[in-house]
Amino acid sequence: MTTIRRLGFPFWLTRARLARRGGRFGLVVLGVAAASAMLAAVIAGALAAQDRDVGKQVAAIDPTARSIRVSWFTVGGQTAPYATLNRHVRRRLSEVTARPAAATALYRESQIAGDFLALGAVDDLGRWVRVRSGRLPRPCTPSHCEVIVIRPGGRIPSVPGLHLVPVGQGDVVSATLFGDAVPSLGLQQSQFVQEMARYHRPAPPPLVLANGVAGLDRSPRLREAYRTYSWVVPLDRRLVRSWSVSALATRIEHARSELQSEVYGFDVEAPTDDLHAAADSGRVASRRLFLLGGEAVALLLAFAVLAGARLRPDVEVSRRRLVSSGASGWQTWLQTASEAAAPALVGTVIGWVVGAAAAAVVASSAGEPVGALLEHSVLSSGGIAAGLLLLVAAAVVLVVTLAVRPVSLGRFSVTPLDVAAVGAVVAVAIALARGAADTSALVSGNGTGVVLLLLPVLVAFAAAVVVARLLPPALRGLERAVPRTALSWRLASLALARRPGTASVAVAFVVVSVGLALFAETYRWTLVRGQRDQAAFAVPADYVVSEDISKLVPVRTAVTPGLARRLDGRFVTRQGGNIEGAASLGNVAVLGLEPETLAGIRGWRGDFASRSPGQLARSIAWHGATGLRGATLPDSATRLVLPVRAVGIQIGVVAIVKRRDGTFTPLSLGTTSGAKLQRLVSVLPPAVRGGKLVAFRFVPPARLIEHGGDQGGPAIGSISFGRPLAGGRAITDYGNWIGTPGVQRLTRGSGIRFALTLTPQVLTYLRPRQPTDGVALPAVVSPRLGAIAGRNGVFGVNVAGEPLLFRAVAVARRFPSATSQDTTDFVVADRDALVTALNASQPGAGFPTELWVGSGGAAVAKRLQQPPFDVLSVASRAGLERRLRDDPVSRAAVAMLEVAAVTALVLALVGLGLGVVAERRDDAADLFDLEAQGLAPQSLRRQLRLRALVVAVGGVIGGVLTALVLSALVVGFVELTANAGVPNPPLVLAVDWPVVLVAAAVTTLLAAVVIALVTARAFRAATPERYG
Amino acid sequence: MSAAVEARDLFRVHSTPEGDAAALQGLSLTVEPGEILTLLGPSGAGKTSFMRLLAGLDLPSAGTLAVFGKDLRALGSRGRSRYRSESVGYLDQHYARALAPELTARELVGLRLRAEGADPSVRDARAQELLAHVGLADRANAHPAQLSGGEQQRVALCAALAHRPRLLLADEPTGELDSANARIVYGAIAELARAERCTAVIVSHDPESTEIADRVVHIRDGRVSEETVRGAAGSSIVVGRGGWLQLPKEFLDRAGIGSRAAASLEGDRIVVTAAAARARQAEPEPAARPAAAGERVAAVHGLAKTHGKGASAAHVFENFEAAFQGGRLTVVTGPSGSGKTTLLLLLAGLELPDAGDIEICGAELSGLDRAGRAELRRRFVALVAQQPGLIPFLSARENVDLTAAVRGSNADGDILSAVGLAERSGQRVSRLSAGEQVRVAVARALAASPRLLLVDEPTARLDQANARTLAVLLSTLARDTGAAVVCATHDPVVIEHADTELSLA
Repeated sequence: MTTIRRLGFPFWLTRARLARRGGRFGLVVLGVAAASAMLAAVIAGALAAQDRDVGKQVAAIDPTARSIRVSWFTVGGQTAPYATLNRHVRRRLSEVTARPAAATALYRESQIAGDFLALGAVDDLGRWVRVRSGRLPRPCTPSHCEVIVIRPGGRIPSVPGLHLVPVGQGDVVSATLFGDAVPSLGLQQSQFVQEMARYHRPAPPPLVLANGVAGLDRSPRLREAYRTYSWVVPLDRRLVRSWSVSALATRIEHARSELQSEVYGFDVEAPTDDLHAAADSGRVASRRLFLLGGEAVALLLAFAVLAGARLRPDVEVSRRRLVSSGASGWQTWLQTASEAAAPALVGTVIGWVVGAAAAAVVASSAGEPVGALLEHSVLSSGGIAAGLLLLVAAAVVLVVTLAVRPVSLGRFSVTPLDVAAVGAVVAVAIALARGAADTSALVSGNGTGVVLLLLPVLVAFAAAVVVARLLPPALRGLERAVPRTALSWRLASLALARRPGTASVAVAFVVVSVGLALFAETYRWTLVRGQRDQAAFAVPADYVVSEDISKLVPVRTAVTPGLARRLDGRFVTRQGGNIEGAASLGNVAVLGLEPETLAGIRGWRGDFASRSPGQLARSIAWHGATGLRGATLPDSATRLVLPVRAVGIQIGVVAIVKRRDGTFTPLSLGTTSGAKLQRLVSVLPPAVRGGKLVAFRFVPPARLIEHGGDQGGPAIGSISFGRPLAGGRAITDYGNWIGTPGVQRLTRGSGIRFALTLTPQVLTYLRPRQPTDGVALPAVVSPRLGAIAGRNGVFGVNVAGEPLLFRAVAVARRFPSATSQDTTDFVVADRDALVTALNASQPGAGFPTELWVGSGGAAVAKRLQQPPFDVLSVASRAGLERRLRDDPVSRAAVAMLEVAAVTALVLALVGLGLGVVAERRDDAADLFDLEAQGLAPQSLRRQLRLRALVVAVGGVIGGVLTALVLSALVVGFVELTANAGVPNPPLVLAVDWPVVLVAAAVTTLLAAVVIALVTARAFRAATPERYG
Repeated sequence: MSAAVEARDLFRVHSTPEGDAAALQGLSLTVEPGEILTLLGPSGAGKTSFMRLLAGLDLPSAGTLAVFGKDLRALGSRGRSRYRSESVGYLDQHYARALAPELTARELVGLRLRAEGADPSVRDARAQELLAHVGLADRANAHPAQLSGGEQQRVALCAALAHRPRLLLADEPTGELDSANARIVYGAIAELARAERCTAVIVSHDPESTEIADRVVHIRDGRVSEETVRGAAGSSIVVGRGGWLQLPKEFLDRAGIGSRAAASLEGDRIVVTAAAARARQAEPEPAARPAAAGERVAAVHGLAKTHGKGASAAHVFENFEAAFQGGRLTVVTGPSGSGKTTLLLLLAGLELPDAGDIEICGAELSGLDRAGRAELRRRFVALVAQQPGLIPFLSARENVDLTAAVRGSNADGDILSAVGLAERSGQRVSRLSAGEQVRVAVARALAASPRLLLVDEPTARLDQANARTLAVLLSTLARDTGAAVVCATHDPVVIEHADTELSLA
């Protein structure tokens, strides 16, 4: 009992002290409570953001797939009655979710009494169907089965054993129930798909739905019918929450494996991959918020330390009192520790409650389920562990602040804070050595969240200790640097240098708060800039018009050059490429830009290349001729005639004509027959008249095409072409014509003769020599391509299947719109040269694929919503940026950073004020001495202000350095955008100078006001406080 | 029966940033069980260091110290902690600092018993018993702030004795009390110590403390110099180990002995005489003639001053009159708490009287506001406080120059020479000895050629030789500069060199 009483003594004393004079710990409690509240809010907020992100991801799943669907198909003659199946499936699904499944039956379209009918049934039909006319059917019975018509289109049969009675018309409200098997209001099919469906399918039969699967199932007429039973649990926001999505997906997978392995052979469909992906995405978003939570915690704990440092003398007196009154060492230590821990405990609990309440209010207004959110965040085991961690951290920090004394090592004294700071630096180094916190690291966890939480804490702490250590010698240096005539400055610097303890704490706090404020602002702007960069990188002009793959209308067809000019648009060619034999270079983006387009490209950053876009544009500019050479077809010509003699081979000849609008038209001239001279002829449609004959393509004999080259070897023969005639006259003498691989031994006379070897794998042409033939196109390339280029920089790339030569004239690390997660290699060349080279290699292969519109005015925006752009994909840079900015995860992150920055600045001001108060208290003896020497109260107030100014300047300098280090670490370590995605291009540190300068000006002004207010009443009493 | 305290050749050397300082230099002392011993000695003599050793809060650098047969040096920190908690009761001068303001008198008295895990009923009964013994039974539930200074110190006494320690250590227990309260507290100490059969060692400047002592021991320069036993005819000079003894100053002066003496054995007597050749060379003695009185620099009329309010109010001055002449060294003497420092602060205008007038260089302080008093100080008054506010990393010269700059005057290059520090003027203050630092502080005060120089306990950290040097310096400065030098001190060496003594006893 005695031992228990001895053990209880320190706690009794602590309770007595706090009960009577607990108010002095008010600021400490406030600081810890604020840290705790912020942490609780961040934890709950992170979960809310994660939940919203999961909701967004789930909403993005195709409605037809957004469910757990257990299906059972029978082709007549059931192996089990429906009731048995129904019971079994529901039992299994109850292990996945408590939500009951909607049962459906869908019978295959079949002829009943001569009428085609699609028939189905749904339990609790009213929940799924909106009545357009009539009423909802009553539950179906075999003798009288009321149905609702979902899709009219014919007679509804009623035969013995199946008395279908239509009672109304309606719509299925959700595509979830039947997927795309039944039209529904939720099924978003494009006009194109609908038209395609209409084109390819016969008119569908009427579709009716009965109310109740079991009732319809008992109809004798349907006993042998083909049918599918389904049990559907829609995956909506109420069911899929961030805190349960992973477990839900796992339970679904478990149920799937069980149901599929059973004798009934159920089929289970559910978007489990999407659910896992949603969970991962949400996890990334929430874990990044830990960074912000860590910052807030660091800041507020620093404030608690600042406030706690003021109490150290009192605690020290109490400790001495205990020692002299005979308390044992452990009792003394325990009393001090409990006195330090008590405010931490009280503050943590209060803060946790306040933070949870704040999170509840915000969650409620955001439509989140408050109870569940709190249960899975601040009240979860992990949340409570985080709170306890904060409690321990705050208690340790306060114990160290209040009670731990330095240890002398020779001339130096080492405090536990010094040791902890070294530990913090080591911890940061180890954390960084583990690698960047990218999305995969954040998904996998492995402590990355903890690292993010602790990173600002550790960096700020280390910075504070370093500053506190460096301050005394710096103040001595300042004192030496101050001119002897500047007496006030000299006295202030001497006073601070003489007793730097209080100033060190104040400066350290200002360092932490200013550093974290600046970091928050810098990181905020870096993320915002990252969004801009991301948008501009993805859409390197105000608008990029490209082909809509659902509509398949080429840009070059829809947009005329005149329209492009009116929009100030530039055509761009984008092709996929690869380098044969290099598996890792199988995905090369090949981009053809006009040099002017490159010079004015959006989304360019200085870190992409050592040269500017203008310099790069000049380097790739093609100075040779562009445009395909060819034989012009007269406008009046109606036929193209080609005299041909083919010996030893039968070939088809296709004339390739480049039309005036730049498109290519193949004109089949027919196939040779025998070795005699013959005239192959093609009619010239009006559209090609006036165009250019740019090539003859040889079509291999049918034998080769049908059986492949290995069935009889290549076709080899000797060919003679006479001069092609159009409008009755020869349009070329083949003077500069050449053959592509397969054409050999070319000789010219009145016509042209050559040997021909044809295979189905190679397209063989006879064509004029083109400006790009045999020339490597100058190009800006990715580093890897630059590295593989030969000594003269030349390398080959298969572009759209055609081998082209390029010459690397510049290397860029990345290029807007050309590099992504999947594609890291690119070739950027002069557009016209690229198009010419492609068309020379394969006429028609080179064409504009995109239109980059540089003018972003409202008129252009409006014009781009009108035809012909309605059949094209129009990407807006501003629109993409807006979407990124409006993303809830992004908004949450940016808003939290803004709040953190402002809070930190406010606390910096509070810290500065407290520093002045502490300075006045702790330096009262020196101030008394100065007053004893005749310094007037006004001069003493000036002294305090000058000291505060030194503290502020020191704090700001240290804070800026801390912010730089922390920002660089975070931006380098956390590879996430504001939207918690992979940054492309990578984030670069950015400072919003106008905001920073305005904030600095406002803070300076407020600091001056705070200092003036705090010092205004100093030394106003009739006599000084007694010292000496 | 063994002695309660057995100290032999105790040395205690404190390491400070300024260098090592010996607080005890071979102190030997024995205290018998149940004895009440009063230790007297000037500030800096080593009393508090000795008390800290006795309390087990510190360890001697050399020598042996046994308390009730236990060698304190042999005890580890845990053993000393146990020794402190079981055997020692400690009564501090600063009762307000010693008493936790959050606790009631009963809780304060029972604090140690509670720390020991005593049964609550036993604890409360003991507290009540002790409080009743000192007449505070009805104030058991009062907090310190609700008690007068004397009452608080009596509570502190009860708290120190609650666990029935065998040794009570009281360090200036009445230093913050007026004489009436001091008498009550000493009475309580004597009564309780005897009732509890407790050995008591009391450190004090207050003659009241000698009234209750069985023996009075004087300490000087870290050694026992004299002792007086109650009932004995007079005091005896203590002979230390190795034959060290310290002769009273009065004897030396009368015998004309300066810094050197010759001893001879004549029968069974030792005769000490002045060593002829170098007797007067070693140390400059003050001129024997009293200084001529100059003009009146400062005066106080009808002064009244009370510290604190309500129950804890202490009346320091009532209708007090004094005048201070230029060219004279006036020492203000009196026990701790008698108002010596308060008087200096009043003269400096750093405190204001509750009633009465203070005149400095013809100006009435009551007519000046705080800024006006600062201006007056800047022109006429210099204060050398106990903590003189020197900047340790500046040199002596820089400290003086800085003060001169603050006071708007040009520092006289001879000031440091005047205090005997010409050769050390470029040395950082932190590297100067304690005595040299006090001299720098005096030089700093002289930088503005004050008419009134106020010096508070300047010899508190000095050994006798340094104290004597400083006393001579102050006396000389008064005469040479014509300033009125007012020095608050307990130190007989300084008092001896004063032109006038103003006793506040």
